Amino acid sequence: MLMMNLIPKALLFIFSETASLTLFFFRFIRKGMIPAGEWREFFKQCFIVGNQSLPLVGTTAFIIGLVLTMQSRPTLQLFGAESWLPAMVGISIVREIGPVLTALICAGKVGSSIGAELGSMKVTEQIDAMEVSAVNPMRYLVSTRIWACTLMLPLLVILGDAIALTGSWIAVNINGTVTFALFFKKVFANVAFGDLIPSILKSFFFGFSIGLIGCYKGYMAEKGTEGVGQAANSAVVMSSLLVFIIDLIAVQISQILGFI
Amino acid sequence: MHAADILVNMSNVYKAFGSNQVLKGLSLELYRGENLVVLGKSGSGKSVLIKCLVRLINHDSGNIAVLNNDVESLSERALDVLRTRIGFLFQGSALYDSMTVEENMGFAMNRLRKQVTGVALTKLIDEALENVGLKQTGKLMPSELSGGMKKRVALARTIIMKPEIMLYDEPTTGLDPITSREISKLIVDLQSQYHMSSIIITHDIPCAKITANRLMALVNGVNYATGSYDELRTHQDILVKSFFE
Repeated sequence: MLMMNLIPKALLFIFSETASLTLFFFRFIRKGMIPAGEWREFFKQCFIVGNQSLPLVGTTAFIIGLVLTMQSRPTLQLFGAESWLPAMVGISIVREIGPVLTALICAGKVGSSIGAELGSMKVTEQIDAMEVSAVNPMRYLVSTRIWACTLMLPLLVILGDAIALTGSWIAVNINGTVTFALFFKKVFANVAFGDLIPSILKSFFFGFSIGLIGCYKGYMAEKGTEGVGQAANSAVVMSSLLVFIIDLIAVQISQILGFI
Repeated sequence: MHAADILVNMSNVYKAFGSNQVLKGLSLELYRGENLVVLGKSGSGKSVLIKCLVRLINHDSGNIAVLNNDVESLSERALDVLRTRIGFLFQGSALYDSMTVEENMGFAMNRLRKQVTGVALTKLIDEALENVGLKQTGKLMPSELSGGMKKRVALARTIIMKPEIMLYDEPTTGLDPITSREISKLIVDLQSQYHMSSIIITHDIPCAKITANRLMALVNGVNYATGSYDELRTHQDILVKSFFE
């Protein structure tokens, strides 16, 4: 009985959230898709999203590269395929782990920060103040943040991939000696553009969705400080979920187009 | 009074939030050069009233005309033009907390009056800050200001655009009696200096006494009584009397 009550409620919530997000998306397109006149704010947001996320993305990518290599090595050794380690790690990182991991870190760090910032501006009437002074908050607040996320995430992914592969090279050298040049030669011999291009393309969509959800949740915040917390929290949850959904769709499309 | 002197004309305005009917056929007029104080209990729809005037909230029915513009039918561009002619002081000041006082002041100016830049803009900011008694605070962040100072900066941020109509949402809420009196006197001074007409939403009677040319009691979503401060203070109706007790 409880389940019967819960399912319609959950469905209703999903439908209403989807409808509300779609309306917000169209409002963004109609009122402020291009951050014209707000380039300074746009570059500031690029700095916040890109530069300030890099230490966290870099550290995590380095550790993941290191651990992935250390854990894969014994299994490959069993089959005498140790020489395939750089190729295996390279393809895993470039195709999947790099983009998804970076997107999840950004969903946590950037998505929550955008949700909290805009949420706090909403509940303290700062967004209303902008609107009544005839300044377009969609352009100043939303457009700049969405495009900053969209453009910075692929760059973070490329840097994250490079750092993760460096971590992998260090892990390889714990139990042996492989030069940096040889390691990367082996990686690039097996990683094709067909691996890299879909991965970069999907990271644009990851970035867009993180920016959109963060702004949407912040913009819709209500009920004072409690609402700000909820906006930050749900921005992380919703954008992380969307990252996985986009990833799933991207894999299907890559398969159809023959990239995989 | 000549029709051209009516700057705001609300007639028979209704607004509901779900089942809660807040405005139930409210009508009011604001005349050129006057300070109209709207008295009402918390939750009576005072803030909703002024938010409807600038279309921050859409009303359900009735007519709202501001500076001879029908607010409901305005395009977004025309609404923005109208909004530049109206100043709005929010209850919590609503200063942009990631910007300094100076940046707060220049924010709208930089975007809407692009010909005013550099020295001219700095001069305007200094002048507006001086008019609210806050010289030398331009470099401070909003978090470094007291409640009263925030109200003054918010007021300066609004008057720098030289609006024709000022809307004050509870200008003295959360302030001590001395600062409240200072803000109330400032409202009167700025009105005469900038030749503005104002709607002041409050339930602070000392503030109403200082600022009002005319008062309106908002009760049960309608314009319940209108008159001068003394007329309402000596009113026989128990609901009107309750504001002054």
